[in-house]
Amino acid sequence: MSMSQALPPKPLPRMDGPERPFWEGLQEGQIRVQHCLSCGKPRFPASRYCPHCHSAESQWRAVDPHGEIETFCIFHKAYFPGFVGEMPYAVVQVKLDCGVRFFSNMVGVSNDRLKTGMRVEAVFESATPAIALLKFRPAGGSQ
Amino acid sequence: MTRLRAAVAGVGTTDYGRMPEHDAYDLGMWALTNALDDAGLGFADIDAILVNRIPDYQRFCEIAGMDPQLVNITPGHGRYSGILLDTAVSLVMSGRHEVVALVYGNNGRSAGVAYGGAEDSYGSGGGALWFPYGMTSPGAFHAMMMRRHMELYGTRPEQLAEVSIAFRKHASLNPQAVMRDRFDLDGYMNARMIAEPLRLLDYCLINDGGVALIVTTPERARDLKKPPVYIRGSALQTVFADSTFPPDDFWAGALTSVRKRSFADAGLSHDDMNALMIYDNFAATVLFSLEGLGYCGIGESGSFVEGGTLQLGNRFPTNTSGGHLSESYMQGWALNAEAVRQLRGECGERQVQGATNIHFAAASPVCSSIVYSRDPS
Repeated sequence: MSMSQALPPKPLPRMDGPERPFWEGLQEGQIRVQHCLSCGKPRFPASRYCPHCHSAESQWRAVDPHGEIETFCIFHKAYFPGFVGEMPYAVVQVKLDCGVRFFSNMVGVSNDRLKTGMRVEAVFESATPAIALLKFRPAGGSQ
Repeated sequence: MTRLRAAVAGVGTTDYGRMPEHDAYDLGMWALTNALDDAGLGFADIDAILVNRIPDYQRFCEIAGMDPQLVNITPGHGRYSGILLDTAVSLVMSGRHEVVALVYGNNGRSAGVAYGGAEDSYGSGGGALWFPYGMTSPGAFHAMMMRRHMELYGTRPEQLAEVSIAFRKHASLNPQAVMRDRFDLDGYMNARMIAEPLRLLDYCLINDGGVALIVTTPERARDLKKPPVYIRGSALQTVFADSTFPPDDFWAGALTSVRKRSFADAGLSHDDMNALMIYDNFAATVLFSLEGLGYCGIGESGSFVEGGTLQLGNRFPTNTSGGHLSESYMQGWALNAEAVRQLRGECGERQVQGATNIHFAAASPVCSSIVYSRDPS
């Protein structure tokens, strides 16, 4: 029996929360974030009002899936038992070129190759048949 | 520039550690009783009470048998120590309240409070959005900042180690501290990683305890039991925009603002400070604070702390109680109590000789800076 079979599931996103359009976008291979219809600025996480101009009018629109690693850390403690099988695991902070940020994980890169400033592109990884997560890999699709 | 007219007349602390027989109300009562005794005041003398982390203000005052004019309650975030001290200064300077009690009670250790995992509520709105990626805990948030600092400025683990080594050395001289066994660089480097680059020894200690402070006017304070410790400067600055993520500037902009305003009001500067009390939820925060407050240049905190700069006997003894890393995580409150006790000369083996001015500061989404002095403005 492999260790991963014995582990509890990892936490899943809340599909009934205000970020639902984002999670639905990932299922369709797009990063959709809220854009203010008054000042045009993108934002994430979701909020009814724009923090910049306070307009309540917004639309979820796809953004370019490229960005860079601003920073990262490596977890050696199992806060979530579902992650025990891949410890130590890295969480990266990615800033997309549109300015919106995410905490995420890298795919296909060992922890010791992570660098701040590394260019990355989105990977849409299935967590369940109904839920995809936004992860990243080095830009260009190569290692 | 505003001349502040406020003083701390009493401080009270409890034991720190694991005390499952005490809830947060009990710990607050224990601390407040000690603070009132320290000041030579009674419960009926309190005009206004601001409670922090204690679950319910009504129940607390019912237990204390007191009916103050003003009451307020605040969430259990460490930034509230600076906020409530600043508020107390405003209350006594307004002339509308004369004796303000600040009461903090924390039974986090016995209650099994977790700062990471499914119950993590740290940050702007809480972090549940990121749990699917395994992102959780204030420690990881600060580890992200420390990694970026290392990559931007070349800061090394051996330099970060100076912070926790110094504070543990101070704790070894403090009978009230929970962790008193000294360690050296090897001990630090061999500590297990939690959220790399932060090791266990870079983390604060979750414990039970309580702290209370009595703030009043300088005139009233001079009539009380202990010599007044004057609050000569105090300033706050929030940093909420985009605060789901760590700040690009390590809070330097806000720290510069609070330092300038509080120093201007105090009529004092860096050179006048005999000791520092710097909010140390994590050792990394101390490095960011030293830069933002202007004790060293931006990016230079690593080399600044080398050679024991923060240790007793050197230029800027910092967190002489052991701080959150080694005394107990009393969320800023015990550091303010330590500042007062140092200025009264009550600190025994860890006393900073001739201490006249002490600077407390906290780097967080609400930055605070408080200047304490033995001498009035």
